[in-house]
Amino acid sequence: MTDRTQGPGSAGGPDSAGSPPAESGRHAHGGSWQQDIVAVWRAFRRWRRARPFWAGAFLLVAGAELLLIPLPIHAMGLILHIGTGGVLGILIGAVLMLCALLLWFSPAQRAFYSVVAVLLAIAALVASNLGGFLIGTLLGVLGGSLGFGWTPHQPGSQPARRWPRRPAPADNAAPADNAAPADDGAAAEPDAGLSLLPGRGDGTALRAAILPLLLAAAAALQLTHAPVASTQSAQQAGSAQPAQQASGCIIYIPIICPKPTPSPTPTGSPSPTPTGNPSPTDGSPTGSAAPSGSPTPTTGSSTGLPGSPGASPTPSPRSGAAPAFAIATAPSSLTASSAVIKGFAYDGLATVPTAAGRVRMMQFSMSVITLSGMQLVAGSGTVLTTRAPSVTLSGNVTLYTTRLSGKLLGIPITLTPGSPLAAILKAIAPLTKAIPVPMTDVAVSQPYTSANGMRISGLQIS
Amino acid sequence: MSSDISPPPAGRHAAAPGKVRWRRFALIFVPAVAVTGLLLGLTAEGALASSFSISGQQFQVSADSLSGTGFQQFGTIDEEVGNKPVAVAQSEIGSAKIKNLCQSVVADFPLGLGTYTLRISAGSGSTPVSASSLIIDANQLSGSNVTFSNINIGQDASTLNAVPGAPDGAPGTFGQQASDIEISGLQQTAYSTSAGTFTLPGFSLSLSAGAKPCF
Repeated sequence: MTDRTQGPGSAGGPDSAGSPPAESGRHAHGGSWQQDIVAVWRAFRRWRRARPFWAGAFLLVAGAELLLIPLPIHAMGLILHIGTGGVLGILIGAVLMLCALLLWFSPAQRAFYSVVAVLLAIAALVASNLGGFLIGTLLGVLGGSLGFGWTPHQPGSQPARRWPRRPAPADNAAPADNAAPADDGAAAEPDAGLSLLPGRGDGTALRAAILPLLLAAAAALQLTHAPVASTQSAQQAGSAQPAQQASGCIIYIPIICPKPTPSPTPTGSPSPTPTGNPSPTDGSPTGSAAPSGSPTPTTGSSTGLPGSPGASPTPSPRSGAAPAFAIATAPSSLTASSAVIKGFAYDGLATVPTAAGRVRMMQFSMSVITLSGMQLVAGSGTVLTTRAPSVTLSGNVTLYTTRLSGKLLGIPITLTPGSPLAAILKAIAPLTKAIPVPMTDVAVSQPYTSANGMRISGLQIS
Repeated sequence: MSSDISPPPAGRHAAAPGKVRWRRFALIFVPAVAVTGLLLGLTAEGALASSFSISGQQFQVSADSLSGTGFQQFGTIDEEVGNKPVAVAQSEIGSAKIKNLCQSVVADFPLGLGTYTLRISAGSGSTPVSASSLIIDANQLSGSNVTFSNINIGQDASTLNAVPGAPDGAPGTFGQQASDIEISGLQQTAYSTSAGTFTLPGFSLSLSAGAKPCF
């Protein structure tokens, strides 16, 4: 900012900076487009100087930056989950840009807009992407401060106000007025022509404007002490946290207050205890007799549901937490170069709910299944593929599928709900439960699997 | 920033220029910068949580380990204007502790301004990063070792309920959920992310020339 603005007295001098007289002289001849450009430029310059232009410009950039980072322009499908940070980023960015325009077109209220802008820019640091990765916050603070520091030239009132305060020559006025400890820029600034203190009302506004910042600083200082205590106790998410957050509400804008503290409390996850009890899910019509997730092999084999395909087992009790439990209908397939299955049993046909209504699927249960060279392809049109060299599912593993194929001891087999092989497999369920079943070239269509645990090494999703 | 270089032309008092008076400027600027610094300090201490939401640009996320409670994932599509739709895995985690988190955006500026990398890292010390309501749309995700507890694979994405309040997928879509998840050696390329709260103990933010992504 190399403001070389002259005081009212010297500004009246026509030849103070050289170029204007020459330009106006050329302008008198009139006509050419260069002169139009010059005229437009000078009109713009006059407009620019009559308001805190650079303050507004910085705030516009800051606001745009904060707003654009979370704004889902490119990803149309994501509007629903831009999250707290996104909403606040867009809000703060928009208000900063509004402040910029108000500074330009209603500069009389600049103190208010400037302070709002500075506070919002600081709030963005906490609220949205670290204040647009610091850039938005810093530009906003700079722009807001510039807007606050800007004062209009007041030719009418200037001499009258200055006269009783500083009768000294204009050149000496600026250093003498630096009573308050200010930075070097203030001292170096040729403040000669302008009054150094605003009008009475303006001064009140100034003090009122600084108050929130001081409060913020004080509250933030107070905040620093609490974390020290809590980090000493090495329990950052403990009971001290809500108190800090509560005191934080004073400083940051109210909209940040409802932000939850990061708590390690488990969110309502599906019940981790698969029960051995027959627990009929409300969605299943014939499920009362089938403990499908039974922990012991003997229970499963005794309730093998021989010969009655209508008595379909319920889905896994693990999903009992989901009343609307349903199996995906999007095309999907799971393949593996080899599999070793322990505690393997074909439980029969099950009627499972899907988004497209009830579907009959084969139900298998196993205690442990280890897959090598696994690949899971899901989706129609755009497809997501999950690959892993090694996958192990263990503990009440249940598999529903419409088609299972592979090589059992080198012999190709294919199981579908209607195949006779399925009936045989069900008959020898006690045998398959007792010995590990090795398979190769496994392919499963429309798989739904649930298990107590799953371990994957070398997971790749793309 | 040289706003007012020459004085106004004579006789144009109506459009008289204003100027920035630096004492007034400093009155706001100095405390504002102080408060900003203080908040950054608190953030780096892990005492103050941040909110994140990025969309529209591709970025990388990596972590030595992630331990989450409440996990669900389903396939969805990010449609980019002018580009063909991208299939992404939308992962949602209720709350997570992340060790050695790194996020990087590589931006290629036009007009020969070059390539720059914005990189945030945090949680490299003893205190991990903690995040809640984490949602990441990744078109590539990998982990050297991943463990799930109580997992359902192939569940209808519209019925997922492991992360309460998180958006679900379209009915019929292939989804999966688990009560707990542990990932080591996490690397993903993401298109959008949002997190309700993020504490970033020991965070550092760097802007460097050239492409220096997390992985």
